[in-house]
Amino acid sequence: MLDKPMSYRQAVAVLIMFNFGSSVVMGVSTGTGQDAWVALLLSVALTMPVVLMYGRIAELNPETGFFDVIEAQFGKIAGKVVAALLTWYALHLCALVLRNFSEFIQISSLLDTPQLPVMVIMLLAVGYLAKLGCKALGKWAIATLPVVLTVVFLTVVLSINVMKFENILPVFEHSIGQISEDAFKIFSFPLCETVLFLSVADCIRKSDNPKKIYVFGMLFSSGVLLIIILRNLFVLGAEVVATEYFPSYSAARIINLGDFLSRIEGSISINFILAGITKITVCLIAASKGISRLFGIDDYRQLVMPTALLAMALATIVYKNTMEMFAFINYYAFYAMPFEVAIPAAVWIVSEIRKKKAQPTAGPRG
Amino acid sequence: MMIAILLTVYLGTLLIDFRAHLKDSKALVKALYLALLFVSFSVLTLYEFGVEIPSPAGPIQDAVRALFGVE
Repeated sequence: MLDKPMSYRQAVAVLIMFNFGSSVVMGVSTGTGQDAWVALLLSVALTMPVVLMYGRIAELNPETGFFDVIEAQFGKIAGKVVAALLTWYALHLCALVLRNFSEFIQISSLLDTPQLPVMVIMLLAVGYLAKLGCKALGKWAIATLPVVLTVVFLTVVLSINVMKFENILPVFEHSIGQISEDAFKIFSFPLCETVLFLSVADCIRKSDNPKKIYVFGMLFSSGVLLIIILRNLFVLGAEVVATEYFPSYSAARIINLGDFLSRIEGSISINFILAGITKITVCLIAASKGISRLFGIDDYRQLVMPTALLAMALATIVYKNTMEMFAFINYYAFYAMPFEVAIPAAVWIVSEIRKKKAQPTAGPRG
Repeated sequence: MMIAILLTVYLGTLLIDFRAHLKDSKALVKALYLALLFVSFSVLTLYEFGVEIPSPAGPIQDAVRALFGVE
């Protein structure tokens, strides 16, 4: 392990901020309108076994990088193939979040500014943080999480006077099939994207339980996402939420307290920047570690900057416009499944089998 | 203007990151570093010159459509 280890609190904060990532502004899938909160709860129930599996992988392979685990469990050739797939996913997700960020900035505030300079500024911060390693990322997450939570809390409290609580009715208007479909989308984006957190799991101390980190981080972030969904629903209504690209931003725009407090939607941008930096950094660390592993390089930090620029190039070409970006979400859930469930499941099963075989069998004495 | 920004970023990366931190690195690391820089720089420059570069999103959507029938 190259990096200094993260404390338990830092690891949880990184996981929570990773989950917030783009969801804190883009929201989660709201195809089921006023039933989106049911879909979120269902997706959390679906995600729990998966995050327990992630935690178990980290527990079985303490202080070992995910890519090292893959190579150790699958052998050299198969391990390299699987590592290459996960590296692609990390790089692609890094590019997708970066593009979400630049699209949001362009739509919300810098209409005539090209997206490239925005991406460059973001990547300089992210690249620097990734080069500093996991410990710095943990400290960053600990420092910024209260800011994000305060903004969410403030926007909820300040929008109470414009909330229409009847917007949640009628409950269960959508069929179980539609709610399950929405839950599946939330399951893959953002909840199970935390598979990439495994790439920094080697920075978790042996004494800390990774399962606890995963479960607590997941429940906490899901709770906040639930509050965000309900806030947007109460303030905007199901129809408006469904048509908005960035519902949290639109909800915050409505907040107006007398003549002295308005235009606080800028605070939502702060949330996106802070959580986005954490998510992109984790993706970048994962992609850099993957590339380093593939080429047998010990220190991933040497390749952080070129990997960041590669992600920027990918982010530039990945969509032609905002509509394409949001249309891709429908396909993303299916595309991400092998990376989020199939590969980790295979790693977990092989790790369990090897652990069982490695344990000395206690035979009868006599 | 975008090309100027790109050149500044890549020159800065070479001068600050590559020269300062990879001086004593192995040849493989240096070669990989420069190769990755070259790929990203080529893509970004071509894009800025208006050359259409195929996005990975298209094939991914086609594959998902073919496998799962998602529309």
